Amino acid sequence: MTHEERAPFILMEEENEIRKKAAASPITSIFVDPAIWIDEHGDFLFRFAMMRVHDQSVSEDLVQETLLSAIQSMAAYRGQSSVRTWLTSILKNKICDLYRKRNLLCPIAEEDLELRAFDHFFERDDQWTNHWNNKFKPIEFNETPEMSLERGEFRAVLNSCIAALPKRASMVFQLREVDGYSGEEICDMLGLASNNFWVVMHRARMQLRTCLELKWFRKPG
Amino acid sequence: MRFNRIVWKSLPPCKTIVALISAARDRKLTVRETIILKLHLASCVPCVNYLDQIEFVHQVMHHHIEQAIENDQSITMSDGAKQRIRNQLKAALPPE
Repeated sequence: MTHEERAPFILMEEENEIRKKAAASPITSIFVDPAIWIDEHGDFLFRFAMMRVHDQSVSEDLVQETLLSAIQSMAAYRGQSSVRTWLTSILKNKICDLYRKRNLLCPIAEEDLELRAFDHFFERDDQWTNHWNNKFKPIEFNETPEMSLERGEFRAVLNSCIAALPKRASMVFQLREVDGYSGEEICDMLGLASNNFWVVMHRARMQLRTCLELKWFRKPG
Repeated sequence: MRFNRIVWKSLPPCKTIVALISAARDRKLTVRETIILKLHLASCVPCVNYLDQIEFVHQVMHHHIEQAIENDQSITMSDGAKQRIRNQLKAALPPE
């Protein structure tokens, strides 16, 4: 290849390098380039959505809406955070809108508030009514979260325990524990009464910790 | 010993306490609730373990989801979806 034939190719690569650096940098809003958003951030945004809505095509739609929305509000982006953080916050709002819509279609039901599944943990035939039954007393988890998360088998167990949560409880639980929204914010978003919110959270926590205790910390052998 | 038992029996049982342990993570407890909780936890090892377990669950959920989002390369968009979105973005951009 002659120098002239190679030259345009090299220029394009340099240009892409500049664009990549600009997209990752917090300051250069003038260089924000939607053309490479999909390559740089597409999979990250997709995973972010998937871990919350657990639906591939819904997640793809959310990513698409997020990027389109970002293009429309590009003028408002002044580089106050990295491109990824900015796109993620747009996506978070889209997910909240989706939750609101879903909640309207399918509001909380009696069975979501049911705690009787755990009654037997506190059944005793002596005078100490409603104290822990000796068979079900919580044990000490002998690992730190970091230690447990290093093991692939633990992650698989954790995934199965999360999947076993009722869908609505799972959504509320994740909004609170992972995304860090406050109780008021979640109740507002989902039109949930505070009492119901507390019951849903109590139940989700009880179910998850029981599942982990049985399947990981108390496993036979 | 008998006095302890009287005190213990007049306080809420473990079944109520675990609900309080959960609520404490989502709202501010009243002064009364705080006292009840602390008194109970001072002499109930299973409930203390429950409290630690709930904290473990919180930590593990948080880090697990975060790590999966950052690192799990097996969760990716299909090339078809990516191309479709690229086309949509191009159409939405103002002409150069």
